[in-house]
Amino acid sequence: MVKRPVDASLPNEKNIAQFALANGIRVLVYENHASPAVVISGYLISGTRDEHGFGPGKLGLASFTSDCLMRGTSRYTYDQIFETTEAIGASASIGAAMHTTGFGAKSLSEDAPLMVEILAQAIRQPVFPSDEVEKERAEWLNDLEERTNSTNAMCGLAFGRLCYPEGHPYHYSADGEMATARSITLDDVRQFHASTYAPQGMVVVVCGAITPKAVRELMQANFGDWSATRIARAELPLVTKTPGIQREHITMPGKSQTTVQWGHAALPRTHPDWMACALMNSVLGQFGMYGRMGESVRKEEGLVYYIGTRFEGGPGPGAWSCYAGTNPSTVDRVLELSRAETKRMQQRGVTITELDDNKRYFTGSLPLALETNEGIAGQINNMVRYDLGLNYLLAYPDLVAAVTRKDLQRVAQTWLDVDNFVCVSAG
Amino acid sequence: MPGCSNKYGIQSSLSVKKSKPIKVRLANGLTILLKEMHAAPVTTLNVWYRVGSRNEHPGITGISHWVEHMMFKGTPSFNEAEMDRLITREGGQRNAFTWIDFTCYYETMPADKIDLAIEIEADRMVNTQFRKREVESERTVIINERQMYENGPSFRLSEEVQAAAFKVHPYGHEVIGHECDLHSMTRDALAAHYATYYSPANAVICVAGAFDAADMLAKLRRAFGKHKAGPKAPPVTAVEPVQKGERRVTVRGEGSTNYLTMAFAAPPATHADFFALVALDSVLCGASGLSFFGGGTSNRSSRLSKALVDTGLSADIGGGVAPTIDAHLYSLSATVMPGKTVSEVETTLWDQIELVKKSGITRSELDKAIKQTRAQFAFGTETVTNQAFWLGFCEMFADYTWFDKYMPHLQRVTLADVQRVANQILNRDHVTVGLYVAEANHG
Repeated sequence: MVKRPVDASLPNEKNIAQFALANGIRVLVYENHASPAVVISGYLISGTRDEHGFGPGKLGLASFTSDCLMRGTSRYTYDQIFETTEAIGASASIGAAMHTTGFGAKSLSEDAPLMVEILAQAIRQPVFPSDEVEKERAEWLNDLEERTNSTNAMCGLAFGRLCYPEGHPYHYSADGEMATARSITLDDVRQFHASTYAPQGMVVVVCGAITPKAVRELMQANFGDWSATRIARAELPLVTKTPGIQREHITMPGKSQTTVQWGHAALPRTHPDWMACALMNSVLGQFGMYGRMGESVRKEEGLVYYIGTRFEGGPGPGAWSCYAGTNPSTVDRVLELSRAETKRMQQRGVTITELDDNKRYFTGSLPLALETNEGIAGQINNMVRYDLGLNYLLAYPDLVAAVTRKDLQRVAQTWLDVDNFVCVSAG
Repeated sequence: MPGCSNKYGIQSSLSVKKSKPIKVRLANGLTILLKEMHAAPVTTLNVWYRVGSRNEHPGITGISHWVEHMMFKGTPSFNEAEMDRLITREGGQRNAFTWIDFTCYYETMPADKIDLAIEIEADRMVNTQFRKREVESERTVIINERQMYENGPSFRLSEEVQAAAFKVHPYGHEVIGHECDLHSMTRDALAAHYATYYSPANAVICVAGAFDAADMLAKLRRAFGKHKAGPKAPPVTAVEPVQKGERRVTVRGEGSTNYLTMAFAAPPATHADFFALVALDSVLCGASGLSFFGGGTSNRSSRLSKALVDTGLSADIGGGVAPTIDAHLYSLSATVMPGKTVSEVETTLWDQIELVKKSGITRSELDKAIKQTRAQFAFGTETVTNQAFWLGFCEMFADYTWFDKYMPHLQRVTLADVQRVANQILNRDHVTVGLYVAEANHG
C-alpha cells in the first residue's frame, strides 16, 4: 500500500496566493512546510539588452552593475551583508541576464525577513562604494582572463557573434570584454542602475514555510514605497539568417578536447510552436542519454562523452544548437553525424513510440521538477514570465497530449536548418 | 528543529513528519535502508557498491568507473536503449557516479513507478554484459571524458597533487584512471572486476520517498533476495606512511591564470577529530553545502576570503574536507589574481594558518559554523535523492547514523579541539603544495 502524499496538488491559481503592491510589483506565494526553509526568486526588467542604449563600449555594464549591488547599501556595508547572511547559513544573489535581472535568496524560514530586507536594500539602495566597485572590477577582469582559457566559453561567444547580426544584443558578450571592463566608470554603473531598476514589471515568488500574510507585510515594508521609473526599452532588432555555412575555429593550444557548437537563431519561448519544438528537440538530443544524437554519436561510434541539442527560447529569438565535446581529430565526423540526424528528423519525423515516450517523459517528470522550493519557484516564475497563466501546470498534460507527429516534423522543417547555419569549434 | 520567532511570527518548524530510517540485512548480505518521506510523490532508489578507485592498482586504474559505464550497456533482459527508454518515459531521472570509495547508481522516479527501477537494478547487479564491441566503443567515450577534464587546469593540478600526496595508497590516482590504462584495459579485466565487487554482500540499497516501508521491503526482498551473496571483496591493505616533509609539484600549461593548491594529510571520516576539522574548514573557508548536487552558501566572510579575496591576492578560495574510508586530504585551493604571484598567495595562506594554530578560533566563529551547518542540513535534505544519498554514503565509511549524529558531533566540538586539530593537520611536514603556472606567466 502506497500512502497518499501529504500534498500532491500542483501549484495553481487556487493554492498560489498573489497580490500586487501599489507600485506594480507582483508577488506570488506558495506555502510549503515540507522543510523549514524559504526560497525567494524573482526578477526585474533590467538586463544586458538595456546596456546598448548607454553608448558604445558598455558591454558588460548590466552584469557589472548587478554584481556591485551587494558591495554596500545605504544601511549595510559589504562586510555586514556577507557576515549577516553567511552567519545564518543563508545565501542571496543578484545577476543580470539578457532581458531581466534575476535575484534570489534561500534561508531558514525564521531568517526570511532579513533576506527580504537585504535584497530590497541591494536592489533599491546600493551606494556603489568606489573601493568596493574596484574590487569587483578586478574580479571581473580575472573572470574574463579565465574565460579565454575555456573552450566552452570561447565557443559560445563566437557562436552568438556569428548567429546574430551586429547591433542585436545577442551578438555580444553579456559578460563584456577586457576593454569595456577597464573603461566602464562608476558613473556608468550609477546611471544604469538609476535608469533601469524600477518596480514596474518586477515579480517576486516566495516558496516555503511562510504565510502569504507574512510575505505581504514583508514586501510592503521593504518595497512598498519604491517609486522609481525606468527608461523606455528599445525593441529587439529583427534577425535574418545568413545563407550558407559559416565555420570558425578558435585555436587554443594545450587543450585535449575540442568543443563544437552548430546551429542558428530560432524561436522565442512564447511562440505557439514552442511545445512541439520542445518535444521534437527532446527526441533529437535529450531523451534518455542525449536522444538520437547520443545513440548515433556516442553509443554507436564512441566519438563523444557528451552531445546534446537545445532551444535557448527566452523572450527573444533564442538559438537552436547542437553541442558536443570531442577529440580534435573527430570534429568533422561529429558534425557530419549530427547533421545527418537532424536531416533525418526533418525528412522522416518521429515514430509513434518516440512521440509517446517523450510525451510521457514531459508529463511524468513534473513531480520531480516540483520536489523542492526552488523547483516550484522556478515553475511559477516561468508561468508569469511567459504569461502562461497560473493554471498552466493543470493544463500541461493536455497541451503535451495535443501535439502530433505531423507537428513535430513540421517544426523540424520550420525551425531547424542543416544547410544554413553557424558552426564554431574551439580547442 | 528548534524554532526561533521574529516580529513576523515566522518560525522554522516542520509540519511534515519524517520517519526514522529502517535498516535490514538480507541473508545474502545485502544491506537495505528505507526512509519514508511523503512531502512529494517522488521516490528514489540508490544502489551502492563498495568499490571505487581505492580498489585499483597501476595497470587497471579507472576500471571501477569503466564498469560503471558498462552497467548501462544492458543485460539479456534489458538492452541499453530499453533501460534508458523505460526509465525516462516514466519521467524518471537516472545516473551513476564513481568515487574513490564507492560506485553508486540511482533512479529518482514518480513514486508509483519505482518498481521499474527495482527490477532494473536487481537485474544489472548480476547480469550486466561485457560485449567486446561495446567495451571498445566505450573506450573512446571514456578517453573523451578524460580529455574533457584535462581541458581544465584544475584537473591537471589536482591529479599531480594527489599523485604526490599518496606514495602507497591507491587514493593517489584519479577516478577516471591514467590514459595508458584506458588504452590497454581488456574486456576480461572489466568483467572480472564486476564479478568481484558487484554482489549483494558488497552492496547497500537505499530507498527514500513516498512509499510504505513494509511494502517496499517485501519488494526488495523479492527482487534482490534471490541473488547469491557473491565472493568476499578483497581488502585494501595499503596504508599511507606518515609524510615527513613538504612535497611540491608544478604543472605548466596554457592560459594566463595561476592556481595554487595546498593539500594536508587528513583523518578519515570515523576519526574523532573529523568534526573539529569540519569546524576549522568552516571558519577558514566557509560552510560546505550538504547537498551532493550543489548548494551551499557564499564564503565572503570566512577568514581566508578576507585575507586573500578582499585584499585582491586571489579571485576565490575553497576548502575541501571529505568523509572517506582511509585517511585522505584536507585541501585549500586559490585562483591567483592577475598581477599577483603564487608565492604572495602562499605566504598569506601560511600566515593565516600560523594564526589559527597559535590563537585558535573564537566562540562566535564556532557558533557561526554550527548555525551555517544547521541551515545546510535543512536545505541539503530537502529532496529524496539527497536523503538516500546520505544514508548510503555514510554506510560506505561508517553507518547511516553518522549523518544523524553530524550536528550533535559538531556541537560538541570545543575551541580547544579546533586549535589542536589545526596544529596537528596544518603541518608544514604533511603538506603537498601544487602550483599551476600558466605559460603566459612563465618567469
